[in-house]
Amino acid sequence: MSESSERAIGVVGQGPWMKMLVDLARTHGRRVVLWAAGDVEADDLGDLSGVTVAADAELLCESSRTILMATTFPELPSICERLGEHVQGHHQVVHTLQGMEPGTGRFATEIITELTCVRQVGALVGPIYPDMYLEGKPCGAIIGSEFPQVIDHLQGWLTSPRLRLYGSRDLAGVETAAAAVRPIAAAFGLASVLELGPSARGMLMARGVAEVARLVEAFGGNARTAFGMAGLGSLATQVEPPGASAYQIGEMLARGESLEAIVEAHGARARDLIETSRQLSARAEEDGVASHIVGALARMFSGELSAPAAMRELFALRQMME
Amino acid sequence: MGARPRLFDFNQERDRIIRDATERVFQIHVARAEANPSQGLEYLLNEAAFRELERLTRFGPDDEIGEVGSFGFWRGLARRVGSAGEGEKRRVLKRLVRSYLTDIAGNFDPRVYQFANQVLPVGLSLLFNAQGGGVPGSRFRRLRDRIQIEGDLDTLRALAQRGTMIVAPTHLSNLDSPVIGWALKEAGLPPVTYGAGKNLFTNRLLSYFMHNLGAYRVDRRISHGIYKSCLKAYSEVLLERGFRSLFFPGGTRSRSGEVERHLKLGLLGTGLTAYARGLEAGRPDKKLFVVPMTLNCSLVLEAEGLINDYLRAVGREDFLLPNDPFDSPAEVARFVTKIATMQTSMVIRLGEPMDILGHRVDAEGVSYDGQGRPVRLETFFEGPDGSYGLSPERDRIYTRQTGEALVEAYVRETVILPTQFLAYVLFEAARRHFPELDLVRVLRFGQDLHIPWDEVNAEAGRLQAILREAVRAGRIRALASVLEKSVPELIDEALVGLNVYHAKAPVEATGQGIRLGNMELLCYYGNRLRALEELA
Repeated sequence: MSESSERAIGVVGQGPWMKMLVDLARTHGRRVVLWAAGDVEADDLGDLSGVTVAADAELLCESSRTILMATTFPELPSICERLGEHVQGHHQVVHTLQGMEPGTGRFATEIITELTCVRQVGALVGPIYPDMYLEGKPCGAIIGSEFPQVIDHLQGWLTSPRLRLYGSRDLAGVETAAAAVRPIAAAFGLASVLELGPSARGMLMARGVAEVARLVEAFGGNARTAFGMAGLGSLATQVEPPGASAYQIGEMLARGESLEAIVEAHGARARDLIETSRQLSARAEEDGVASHIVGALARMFSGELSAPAAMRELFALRQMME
Repeated sequence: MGARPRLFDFNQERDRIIRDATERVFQIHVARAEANPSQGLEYLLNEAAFRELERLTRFGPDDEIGEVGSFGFWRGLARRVGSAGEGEKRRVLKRLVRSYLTDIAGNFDPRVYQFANQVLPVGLSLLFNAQGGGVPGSRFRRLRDRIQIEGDLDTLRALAQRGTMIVAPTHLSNLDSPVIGWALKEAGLPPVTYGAGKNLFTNRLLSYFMHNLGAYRVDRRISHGIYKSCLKAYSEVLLERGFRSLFFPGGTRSRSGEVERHLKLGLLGTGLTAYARGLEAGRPDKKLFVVPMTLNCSLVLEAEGLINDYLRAVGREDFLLPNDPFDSPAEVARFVTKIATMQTSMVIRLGEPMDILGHRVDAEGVSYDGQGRPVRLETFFEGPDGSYGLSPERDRIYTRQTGEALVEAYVRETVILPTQFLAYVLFEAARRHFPELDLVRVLRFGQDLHIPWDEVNAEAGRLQAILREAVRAGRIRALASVLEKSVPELIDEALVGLNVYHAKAPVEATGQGIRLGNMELLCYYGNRLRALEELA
């Protein structure tokens, strides 16, 4: 048995993502080392049979070369700082976050490469819901990484009869698309409350993905990525009622609920969506990229625009070629 | 300088270097052909024949290389390659590769090196002090005053003994290579080998020195895959054998005057390959270090030709400029004589050394990540089975990342000089006067524009404040006089500098302000501060 096949997969974090990743790794008979990276009751971690629980980042990094991060954005920097003390160039780190860091607008792989020495990074995103997977539903996702080795390892280790895992070398495109579809999903929630009907939904889908493609290009990615798993695939699942958190936030916005109420209801996901909308909109403006839907969302979050006014504004845009 | 410089052993190893590089290029192409028969040797040789016939038709028989380079050879090859057997194709490939590498390979004569070290400072000193007096000894000191060499030289000297150094400078002028050679000697650093455009070998005197001081010939007119892989393999073998090298990662002189941002990564990648091959061979201790170097000149000999070339054909690179003043020794002498009147002609800044992946390294050769934690460089080259080795896809990404680190270092280590400072102030003033016009029209209509002293002083003061802040934050550097002098004094110094050499003066000071003259030159010199705009 080669050294690589004996080595464990490392998982960092808690919650459904952690449970799904642990389950997938076990499906393949892989040894799993879990570092919860925070205070947690053993019962909350679920079924840990066959899982080695690491007390700290050092043990995790010694045992595994591939580390899957099932964390939130607020936790990510401090976890990376602790990992940074122990990782070396042979480690691969893959995150599962769809959005941008509140306050800085950085993507998760930017944080990982800034705070650790790891170069071989990736993003595991797309139309995937760990809860659904754990309920026994089939899922699909995409692993974005510039490094083919990272994609190969993840595809080999996580693909299962219930999970199809696609790969993309366009990491910038994958992270941007995964972030940018969230404001578009919020616009779907808005349209639902305003009862705009199926035609508007169709238009939002087509023009929303086109907008995501422009943003992907502005961030150095390939526009085609917007029409793949991280873009269109992810958006389609988020707007399916009852919808993902972004969709529900859009509904609250349309009902005129305050930002405080939205943040209270959706916590970090709401803060992340607000920041992502702002950051993407600012970048689009800077690069001269048309970003009408994301821009309208950003202005609604800052209180400059009401939901009906946003819709009127979008319909009043000059006629254009597709 | 410590131990005997490695380059002194070059001639004893020259044949072996050519042989190793030949074998490497041959094996690479044969392996590729076997892996992908539809792109086999026939395809490769056909491409070479097509491009070589095109080159020889354009430049004539003087451009023939070695025994296999004649027009007849290529025409014959093009005709028979389709029906040739695999064995014949391999024999032709090997002959070609050997021939190219023999043409590329340099030479190093320690006697010429010692001689050059005696005459070069004298020559430069005489030229730089043509208007000064004093005894010859004082001229050496004056030269050092005019060309400042900055950086953590102790660390670099220590590293030069611990591994193979790759000097990676920005590139402004054909004078750069001899000046860098002098600067490395002055800094107590060992000599390096470097690739020089074949056009520079047309000057017999220069060719003699370059050919005997380790320079290898790069013919940029040969564009087919076999030649490019010969250049890469030659550089790899040199680095693997511990010969210190110099690359201009920008590939050619900066046409716009801006600090290089788009690098050609081919030669830089050879450093990475050399390190990975060392690991494969069980030698993790054979380290390579990259030293970013910025060349900061008050005036550039070829400035007019370069900026006009940039403006004429943005995006297209012509390596041979028409009427290049570098081709005229009298013009070079006039240039150097003129800039001798300036307080500081040039600052050569050696930046913080990095490893082959762009990590900072200390004097012991230890690499550090962005948070200052030590990293084990070899682990980046470790495969999933724990073995070390090359991985073309991974190494291409690593090389790009090293290039990005180098670009950041270039901005950080750029030293803003008074002429560049004032050129930027004035060119931006012209832009403000014509806010609706594009660059080409600003150049046309900006000429003879009169900028009043109030505006010049106010804008210069504003820029000086921005620059002070950027320098304080470590984002860029500037000559002390740019930061510390009063605005009027700084403008006076810059005005003298800008007008000292160029036939068509960039500016004219009047009682009421400054009249803009040669807008192209203002654009060129001012462009050095464009990097600052991105930082703002």
